[in-house]
Amino acid sequence: MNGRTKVSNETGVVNKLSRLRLLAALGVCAVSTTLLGWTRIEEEMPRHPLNVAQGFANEASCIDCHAEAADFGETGHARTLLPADSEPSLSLLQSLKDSKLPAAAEVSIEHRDAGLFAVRGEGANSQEIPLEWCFGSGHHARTWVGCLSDSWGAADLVEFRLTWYAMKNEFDITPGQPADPPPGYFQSLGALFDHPKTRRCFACHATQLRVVDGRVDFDHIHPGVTCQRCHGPRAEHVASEGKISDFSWRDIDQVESVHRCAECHRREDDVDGEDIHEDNPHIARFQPVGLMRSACFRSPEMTCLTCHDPHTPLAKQKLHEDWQCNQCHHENPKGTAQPHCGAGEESGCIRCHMPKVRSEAPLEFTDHWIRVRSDTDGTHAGQ
Amino acid sequence: MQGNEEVVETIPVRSTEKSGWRVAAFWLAAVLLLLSGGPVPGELVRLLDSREPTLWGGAGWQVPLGEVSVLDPLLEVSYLLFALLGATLITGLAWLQRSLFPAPVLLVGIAALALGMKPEFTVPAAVLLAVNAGISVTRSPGKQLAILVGGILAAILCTREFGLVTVGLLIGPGIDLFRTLKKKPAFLVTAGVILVLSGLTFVPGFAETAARFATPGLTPHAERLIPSARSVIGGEPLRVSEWILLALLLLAVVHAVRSSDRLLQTFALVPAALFCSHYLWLVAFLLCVSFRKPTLLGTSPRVDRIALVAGVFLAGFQAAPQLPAVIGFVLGDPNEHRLEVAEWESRGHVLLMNLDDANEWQPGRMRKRYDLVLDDRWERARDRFEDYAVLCRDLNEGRAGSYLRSDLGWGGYAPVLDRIEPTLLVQSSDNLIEIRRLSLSPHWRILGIDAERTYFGYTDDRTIQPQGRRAIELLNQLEWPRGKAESLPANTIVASSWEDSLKVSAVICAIRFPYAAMRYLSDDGAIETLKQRSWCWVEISHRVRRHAGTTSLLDQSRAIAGFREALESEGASADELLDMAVSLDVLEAYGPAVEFAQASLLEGSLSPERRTEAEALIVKAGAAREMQVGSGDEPEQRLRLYLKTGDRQLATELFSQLSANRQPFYAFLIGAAERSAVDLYHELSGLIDAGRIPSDLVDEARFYQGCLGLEAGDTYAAVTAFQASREIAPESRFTPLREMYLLRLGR
Repeated sequence: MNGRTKVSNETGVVNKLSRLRLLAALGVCAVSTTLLGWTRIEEEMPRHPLNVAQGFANEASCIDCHAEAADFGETGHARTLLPADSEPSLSLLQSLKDSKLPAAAEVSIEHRDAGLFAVRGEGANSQEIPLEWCFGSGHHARTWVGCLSDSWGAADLVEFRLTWYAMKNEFDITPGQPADPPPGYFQSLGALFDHPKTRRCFACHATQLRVVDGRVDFDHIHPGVTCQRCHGPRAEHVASEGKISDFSWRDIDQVESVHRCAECHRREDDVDGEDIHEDNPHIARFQPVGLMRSACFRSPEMTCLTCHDPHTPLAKQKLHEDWQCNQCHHENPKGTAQPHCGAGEESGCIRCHMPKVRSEAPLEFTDHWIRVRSDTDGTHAGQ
Repeated sequence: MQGNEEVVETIPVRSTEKSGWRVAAFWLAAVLLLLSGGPVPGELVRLLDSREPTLWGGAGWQVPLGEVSVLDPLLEVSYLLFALLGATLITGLAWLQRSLFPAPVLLVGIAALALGMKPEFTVPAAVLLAVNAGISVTRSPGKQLAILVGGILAAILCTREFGLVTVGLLIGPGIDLFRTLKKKPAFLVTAGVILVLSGLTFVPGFAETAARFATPGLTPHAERLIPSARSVIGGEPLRVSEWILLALLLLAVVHAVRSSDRLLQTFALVPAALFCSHYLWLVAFLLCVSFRKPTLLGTSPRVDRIALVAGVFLAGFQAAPQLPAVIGFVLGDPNEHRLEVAEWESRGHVLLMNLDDANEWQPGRMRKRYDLVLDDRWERARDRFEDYAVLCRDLNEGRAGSYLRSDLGWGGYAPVLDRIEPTLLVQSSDNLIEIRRLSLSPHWRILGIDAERTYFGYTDDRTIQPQGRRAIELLNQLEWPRGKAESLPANTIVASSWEDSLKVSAVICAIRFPYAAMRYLSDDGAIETLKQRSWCWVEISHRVRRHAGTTSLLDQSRAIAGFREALESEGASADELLDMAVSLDVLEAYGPAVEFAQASLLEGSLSPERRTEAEALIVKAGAAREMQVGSGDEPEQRLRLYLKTGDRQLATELFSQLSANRQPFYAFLIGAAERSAVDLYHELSGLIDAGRIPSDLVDEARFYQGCLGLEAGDTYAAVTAFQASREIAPESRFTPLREMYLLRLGR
């Protein structure tokens, strides 16, 4: 007889043995399904804490327990980003009309229903840009930006040509922008940044910043570098009344500690290697770069927090006295609380070893590249 | 008949008479279906699934056959040849199982397998077919054993899926063989197999490669980086071919249950396919080739014939668009479809945004110049997959600088790239947002575009400079044609079919070369072409607005008209409609923005996040529209507003309120949407030359004239118009853009 044959008993197609086989096979299937499904790893991509929608606490509650942050609102960090129509920003913009800068004479500030605008020229050939945010604490400078969308809705930025400088108490050209404006409708009033740069700008001046496909959710931005920018979303911490704590700053080493600050104050990776040399005055702006090249940094205890308390306004930290240096350099044959100095100076370490350095713009920054310098007036090296 | 006696039923053997034409029909259907789903016939594909060492993944288990470089030419064949080979294997399976299943069922299986087969499955499929066929024709247990062992060894030597093949053979034919052997030989064989396999586990990478079919879930972010590793259950939507394979697996399960045929094999391996779509095809093939018991009753020869003819006909219909390319290839027409990256001067590390593309970088000509940073071997370097996923995300989002991540690691792609020193970055040409963002990065230069992939070169790598120059030269020449180019750079932008041209155009528009993008669009009446052209007009409108601070009524009104036509003909998905709404909102066309956002919500397939976005846009744009409508009292001001918002009907109604000398210009703009760039240029030129454009509008008219010349690819026309505009209005709103165009055009 040709063909394949099929065997069955009188009780049905599937005999007892087949039923057992089916059950065994189902068992194998269940086991393999369970194993394969159970072992699938939950995938949550690590992200920038700024970009998280939930988990942020109302920071008004931080001071209830953390009295040391009572003055935090006065720090530069807290005031580093303001809406352009906030009082400090408006008062500066209103002073533009009194500026002696020739470039300022061409520009006027208009306050409309749609917001603030910087306007150049008149009539049909006038140009204008929105001014929506004010960057900078005012300790050094304040610069304004407006948001323009690209053709797909991503947030480009126009940075206003004119910046107010604390050093001069006057307006001048924004750092990095040319003295003569290039042609172009927006370009005549400012520099255009694409949306990756927009994100980068706001990420260092805000605490919560949601960005999706390049579109910034300005309706829910939290301006200023406040508690949760460094400590991360703290809703759980507040809800648990402190039982759930922030471990992100514990047990980190010296380099990591500096890198935390350098996320915004710039790491060496973020700077062109050719620009990192002692003769470059612009490098002073990037404090961690200089600090990590300092001889002082060889001490494993030295970090930004050695001298700075980020919770306290700079003015209250007495930063230009010698107490910071005395923490380590306390050798003195007289036994007084004065730092040891090879040139015999008894005070003013900062003046010689960390002077303020002027850049091309009317800005000066304390140079954190702590070293014996040859360029400082009145110092033993300068002499 | 007494109780519990076995009753033997006989099912008639399906007739093997006239089986020759059935085989031919099966084979033809399989070839046609393979050709329908694949790339162009001439594209080289690699039949071997070996992988070279990668920068982050290391070497791991190397498929021994892949180490024999002299075999490379045999293993890299044209897609047409692969289709012939693949069809032969699938037909072989159908032939092997001809007595178990009727022709219609076999055709369903052939269709499923042909539509889903990839070149890298050729070798494991051949091994499975050879072993099962060999075992079925041999009665001697010894010979069967030899065939089985030989098949396992061949799998180990020839494919990285040897784990699945081995398990499939052992728990399928292996168990049958085990039962037929006497106890002692069975024991010896089992012990031998276990010993050998155990010994091989000491070879670095062997064990993890053997188990790879069960371990994709153990690798973090494997699904994100390797789409084929995604789970069928609860994962991303399946493609049509995957649905059909899933249906075939379901049929296989039903068969296994009904006839108690290969139960263990079926229920052990089907989960592997369900949890990793990459294995859908292999598991389906493995089960189908292993079955040995019939389930279904036969069909009549007449039904078989009808089914076969219908199957071949449907396969032919499916493959019809590809047949001209096949004929062309056979006749010697190369028909470039993909860029030949191996011919570029670059060499170095390659970053793939989609690790499923790894097989394309294995051919010898690619291996000589490039190596991958990571590939699709999820069993290797699991701890690097998260780093790679974050790197890809940072690249796609343009996050160059360091930032502290939520896991306290450091993100930002720039430091990572400094360490890797990549040469190329390969992005899918469908990922337009990511391509646009990469084009903005100072770290990457565009090198080439085809319909499948867009290639970027790392700026710091000198080897990419020649191709980078060619790419920018070509884009500039297409965007601002400086007369007739003697020759355009080859192997830089490739589009060989209508569909390819649309995709390439979309990429070029995404990187902000809208006029260049339009060179790839044909003058057909297809809605897809009109949609893409409208996106180019959006880009041009935005450029004019960004540089001149004013609206290009010509381009903006045409864009809105094009989008409206797509909306009315239901030629746009919900996501596309929302994207249109966003772009129109940027251009201050608030009315259409609201209209398109509402349409996207009605279409119903938006994700929750996009629904929120649409609703927010409707509120915001709606408020802006109210303010906009209130502005402008003069008829001309309002007419210009209606052109800006694409309300041609309202513009037409206002038209008669304009003074006679202003009507020609606005009539031209109102009617622009239905005309080609060449026609528009001639009409506008006629109006200007006849002095029918008022003096205050001539500057704008001349600017549009120049832009139409650019759009038509006529350098002389564009330059003449822009120069005339310069003379008429040296300082106008359009000056910055006009001067930039003249500079680019060589004036």
